[in-house]
Amino acid sequence: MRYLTFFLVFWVLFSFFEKEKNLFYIPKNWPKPFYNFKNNPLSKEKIFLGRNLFYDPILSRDNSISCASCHSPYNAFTHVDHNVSHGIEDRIGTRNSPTLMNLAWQKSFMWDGAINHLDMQALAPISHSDEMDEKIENVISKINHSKKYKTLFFYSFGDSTATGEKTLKAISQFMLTLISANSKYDLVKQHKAKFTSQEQNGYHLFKKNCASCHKEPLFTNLQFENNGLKIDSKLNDFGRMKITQNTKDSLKFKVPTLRNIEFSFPYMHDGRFKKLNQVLNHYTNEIEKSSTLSKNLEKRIELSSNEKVDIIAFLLTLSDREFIFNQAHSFPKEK
Amino acid sequence: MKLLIAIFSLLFSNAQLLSQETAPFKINFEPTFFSEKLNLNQYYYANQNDSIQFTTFKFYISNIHLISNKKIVWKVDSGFYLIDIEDTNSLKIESLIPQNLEFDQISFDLGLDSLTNVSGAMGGALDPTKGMYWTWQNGYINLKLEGNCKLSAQEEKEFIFHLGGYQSPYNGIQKISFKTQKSALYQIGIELNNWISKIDFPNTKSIMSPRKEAVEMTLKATKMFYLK
Repeated sequence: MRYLTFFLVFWVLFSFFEKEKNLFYIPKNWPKPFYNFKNNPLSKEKIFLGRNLFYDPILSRDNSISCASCHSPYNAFTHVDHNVSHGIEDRIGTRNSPTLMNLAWQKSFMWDGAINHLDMQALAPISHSDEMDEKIENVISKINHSKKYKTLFFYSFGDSTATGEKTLKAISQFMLTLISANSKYDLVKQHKAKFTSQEQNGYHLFKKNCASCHKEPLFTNLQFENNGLKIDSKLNDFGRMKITQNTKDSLKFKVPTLRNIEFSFPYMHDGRFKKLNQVLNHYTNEIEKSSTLSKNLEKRIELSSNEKVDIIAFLLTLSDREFIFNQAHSFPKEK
Repeated sequence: MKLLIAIFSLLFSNAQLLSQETAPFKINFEPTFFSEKLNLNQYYYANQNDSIQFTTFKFYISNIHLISNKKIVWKVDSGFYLIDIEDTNSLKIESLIPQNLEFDQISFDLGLDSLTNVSGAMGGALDPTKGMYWTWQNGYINLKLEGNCKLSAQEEKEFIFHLGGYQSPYNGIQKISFKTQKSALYQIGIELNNWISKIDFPNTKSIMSPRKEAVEMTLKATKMFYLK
């Protein structure tokens, strides 16, 4: 009897920790997440459901495109190789798909902050005519005709019927687990690794020239800034101004994280730069002055070509291979 | 012992509060066009040349408050109601209020407040599958009116009004209130012509995003509501 009690206590504790490990965690010394978990408490089942939905082309009109089509795990959940992303029937969009990681700390989504809540994010690509071109009503009806989802929804919500709310919340749950905080940079911060002298110099230069917008530890200040890119006269994308209709927001885009930047090329909202040295050359030589230009760029950034190489060496320490190759984030195989 | 009595009497009085008599509170919305029952997809003719047809008409009602002496004395549920002219069940709101509640005013919001707009995925009337959520950017559509109109021998033209917006300065939600007396049933008329007649159709483009025109149009739409 005593053994049985001991075993039960152990089992409960073990399953608790086992469960915790697979859910969400806050990396050491990080700020409090912005996402309100009270309205959408995480569970293993819901995360698994969300993961299935994320990789399922059922979300698109002709069942050809899934979230992962433009947000592939091996590219830090973005669309590699394409300056602007393409969707259904190879239609071309106007912006480079952003990386997906550490989303619980984000206050708004999309390059222009058009989306105010992670739960509502998936609606945009689902219904955009150049992306999945489908209506959420049809997605829910397709899901409700699927035996697989009937089971998954039942185990997640105790009710086999899918609704818009449950579907979106499950996708959020999966996305919330995409935490990248295990790069060499993080290990150095935890005194578990050391920068090379080149990386160290790069870090020093980074803090001096880049960190006011790309603020540690998220490597973004979550603000909208005009980083001095010349406007593309074909795309005519004025960014945040479309959302706020305020001319003060002209040409402002959200500051992206630099974590896993090695995997997330091409760069900028329209993917105009393929290489990191092109990005750095932009900041030192090609800043287009305008009334909305970020205050942090008013003074010219000066870097020698050696210093640029050092900064790139530092940026590569933000690669988190454990995150990229995490099986818990990949295509869900049949259990 | 005194304490025990105090506790008992407290419990008893609470129980009395909880079992307080309730009374039904009902609102029926009655949509009309030129005082006739409004039918979607029906063509209405003003004269030989002019015609109008409505294909979609739905809107959110929220924050139904009962007011006495300018003070809110009762909030009817925490409910959000999607009124869809196509769905007659949606035209009725039913709730319970304390029987001895006195009030002299009913107020409600046409649309949803900004907090609701930034609170993520929700179910029921707020489920994004209800066709009242923008997707290319966030936020609910407070009021949807779609149809076709033909004016003075011009070609038939489609009109679409998706009115919403929760961010200042283009916050679209509007408060509507009526002085009233207590009653078990309130019939609230929605005379669509009181709105439509304020629209200059040849010079008005469709509205499908939160902006100044959307707020102005929602203000015009509040004129449809009247207490019978």
